[in-house]
Amino acid sequence: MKDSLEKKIVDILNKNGWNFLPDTKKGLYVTNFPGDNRKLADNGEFKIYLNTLSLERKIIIAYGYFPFKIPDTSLDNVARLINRINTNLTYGSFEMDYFYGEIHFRNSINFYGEEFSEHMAINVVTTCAFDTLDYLPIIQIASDRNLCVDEAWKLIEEMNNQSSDKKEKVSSSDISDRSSSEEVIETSISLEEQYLEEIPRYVLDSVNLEELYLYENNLEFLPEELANLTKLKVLCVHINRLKSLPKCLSQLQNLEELFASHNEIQEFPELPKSVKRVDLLCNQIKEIPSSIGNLTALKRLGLENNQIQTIHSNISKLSALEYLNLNGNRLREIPEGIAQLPNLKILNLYNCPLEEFNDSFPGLKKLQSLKISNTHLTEIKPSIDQLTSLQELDLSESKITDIPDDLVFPKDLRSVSFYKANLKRFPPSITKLENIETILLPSNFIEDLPDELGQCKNLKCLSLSDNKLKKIPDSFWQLTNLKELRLDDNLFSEDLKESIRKWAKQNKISLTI
Amino acid sequence: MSEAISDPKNNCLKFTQDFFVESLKRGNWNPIQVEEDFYVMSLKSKVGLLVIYAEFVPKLCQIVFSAFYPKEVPIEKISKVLEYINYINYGSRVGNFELQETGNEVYFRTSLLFYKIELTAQLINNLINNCVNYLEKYGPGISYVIEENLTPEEAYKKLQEQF
Repeated sequence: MKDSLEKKIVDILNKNGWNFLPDTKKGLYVTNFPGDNRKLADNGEFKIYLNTLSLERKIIIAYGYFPFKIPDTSLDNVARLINRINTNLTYGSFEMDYFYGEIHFRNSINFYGEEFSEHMAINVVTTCAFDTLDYLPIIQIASDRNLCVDEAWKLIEEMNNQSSDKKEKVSSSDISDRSSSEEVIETSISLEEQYLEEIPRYVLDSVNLEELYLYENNLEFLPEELANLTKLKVLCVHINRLKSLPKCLSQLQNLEELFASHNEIQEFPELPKSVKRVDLLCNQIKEIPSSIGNLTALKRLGLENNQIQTIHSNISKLSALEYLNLNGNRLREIPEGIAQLPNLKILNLYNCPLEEFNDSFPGLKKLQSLKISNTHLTEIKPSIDQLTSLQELDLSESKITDIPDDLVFPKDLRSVSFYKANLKRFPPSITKLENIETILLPSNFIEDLPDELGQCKNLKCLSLSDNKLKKIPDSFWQLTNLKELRLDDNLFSEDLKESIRKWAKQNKISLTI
Repeated sequence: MSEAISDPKNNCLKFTQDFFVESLKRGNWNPIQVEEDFYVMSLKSKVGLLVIYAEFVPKLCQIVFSAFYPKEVPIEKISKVLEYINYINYGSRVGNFELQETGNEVYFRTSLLFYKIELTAQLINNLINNCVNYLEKYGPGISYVIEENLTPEEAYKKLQEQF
């Protein structure tokens, strides 16, 4: 019962574009949420965790995890700040672990005694994402500068004032009254969440416009007059009802960023060579045409949750591309053109029905992260060692039952994940990786651990939950650099569990057993 | 999210203040309306007389309960109490403790955004019961931190021994 509800919740959220994937612990799911603040590390991107571990009590929990830690010197000031933020919030709360300096936002719902309905999960996760997004920057600034609560709060008020001033300029009440004859030179217009069915005339006449934000409206089309906005650099039309994007976009020779996720777009648009970032997730695109090869400045391309089956080989011409996300599409193989990309660093192919691992990767020499979970793959081929810069490999939820002893993983690999991969034994070749920091092998059928495991001196996180382990090798006790150890749902004796608990406590290792 | 509530398709406005009051009464609560959408209740509990506030705002699809711990926090203990609050909140599933800066009182808050959710008396009573139960369970730890100078971990352990 719990498992089917858990699956239903994850399916509902993923149909709404959240892209949750299983985490290291059974019942936990994780997704990345893109940030929008270029001044922060990773642009403020953070992880959202969905916790279904309390579903038997009818509780769904979502966490927004900050990608930074609070130094000891800032703990008291940050605690006062998050308390003040919490007292001003309606839903959920920020909370901090003083020991590790970790901070997260948590929101939850208790629907005990009631039937689950989809907005219970959607509301919890959405609130979690946007409250984390709103306050993460100020908490990071307050932490970095060790600001007292009043100083930090002043900054929040200033930021809010700037935001409301910006909205005031273009409030819906004066949209109809505005004309281009007004002596206002605006370079940025935000008209989000206004239920607009068409773009106001004055916007199309704002020829100095550089940034146009129109997300969460009811737009069904964008007019060709957008071509007037020749200085436009950023166009954001997320969450509308667009079925296509206009051809005139290709005339916007200064356009650098296009955000058009969560629409009903069926064809990949024609775009100018200037674009550096394109987000088209959660649309209905079926193929990537040859014109993709023109986008030689493109660095980041998000196409997750479309219906893409074919990608033209011209994609190999995207020499600047560093990030490509194709999660949740219909690809049966990693297209040759992608395997040739010279500067790609991150490639995500979760939830694609991939059937075969490529025989070779002529490009991808700079690839650092390869995530291809929930596929039909049955084996990894030796070509994996051609990915010489790879640091993170996720092959979870595949049909791979064994990793050959002689398979050579790229030597700089720091994180491997084979969650629910049907592995019958611990892949011995992993223990040869000197830099390995994270090994995630939960929900497999592993009965023994190799004695060489102790060689992984840099190992910080090891998850072997939900396997068939009865014992551990002697070298296991050498893994004193571990910070997180998950060994629950195995077949250990109570005595062994107690020994591991004591050892973990002595070494300050977070343990689940 | 609050802007989305003005979406005419949302179902929140059908839930009236009377519905909210009746739902609470079914859970043996006796709310006193002090403003249009603001209520107060009290409960004699094992930690003293608790005052519980409720906000029910259908146009925002919003319910909030706040139960106050009946002890003021001395200024010099605020840092320690905040550390305890975070210690408890970090492991909690539902709701959270907060310190009201004016008055230095600690309260536990639970809330629900019921946008496109069929609101029921059960859901409302889950919220208020969680609010009061957490306060009764972990509130005494505040006194241990204030009066006995215990660390958050020690206060938590002492509570565990009593459960």
